Amino acid sequence: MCSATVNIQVSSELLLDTNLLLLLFIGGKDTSLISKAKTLSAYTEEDYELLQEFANLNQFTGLLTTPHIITEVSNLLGKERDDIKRVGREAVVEFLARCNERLDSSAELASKPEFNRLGITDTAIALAANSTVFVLTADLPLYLHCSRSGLNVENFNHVRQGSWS
Amino acid sequence: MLSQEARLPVKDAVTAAIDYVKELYEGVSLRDLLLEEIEYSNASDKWLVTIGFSLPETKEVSSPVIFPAKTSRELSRRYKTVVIDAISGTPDSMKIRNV
Repeated sequence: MCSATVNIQVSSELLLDTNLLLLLFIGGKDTSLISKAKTLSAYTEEDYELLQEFANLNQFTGLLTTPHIITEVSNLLGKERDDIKRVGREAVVEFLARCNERLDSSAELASKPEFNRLGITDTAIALAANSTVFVLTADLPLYLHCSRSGLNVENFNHVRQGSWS
Repeated sequence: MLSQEARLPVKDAVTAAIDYVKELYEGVSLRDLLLEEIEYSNASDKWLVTIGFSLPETKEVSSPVIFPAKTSRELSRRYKTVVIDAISGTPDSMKIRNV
């Protein structure tokens, strides 16, 4: 099995965590910008290609996001130099036009027991994750929470490491 | 802050972190050594590499009323964050990652 494929039991929407979405946005516009983006220090052009491969090979039915993820992406783009900020924001607009967005109220999210440990963005992701949503993250606490809860989740770092061997 | 070209590549940082964990646990059978999380500190030019692994442990499990005490082996997963210097490629330190 290719390292970029996973076992998906049912048709699933793909939900990407903040840093991976940022990688997708900036890399999708110009892969040479990845090495210049301050907020993507841990990623390379190879990682962008692997992320694309993961999304394509697993035949997800669509894309899902939350307002909290998009807010984090927007804030991170705000730290980048002007050309990266501009193309990143263009990608946000294009992405939002073709993905589904799930909205849970902040009050509801803050009332969840995992809020203290995960924060509001990851609590929203955990709440969105169900049998028809597949979460891809590079965040260990979120990955462990989803995994221990029996949700569909993969740690992108495991995928990366698998691609190196 | 080092440019991406000047710093230790991510794969090499992960290899250095895994080798460091293996060295510290020399003689212990570590299983499923995996990259769990990685972050680059622009402020200090260090890689923060979190490695997860399992090791067989013996844990006493007692059935207090009817059955005599018995011993079972179970696997527990550990998480360690290794700090790798992005200039020299050498490990600086390792700490427990509580998750």
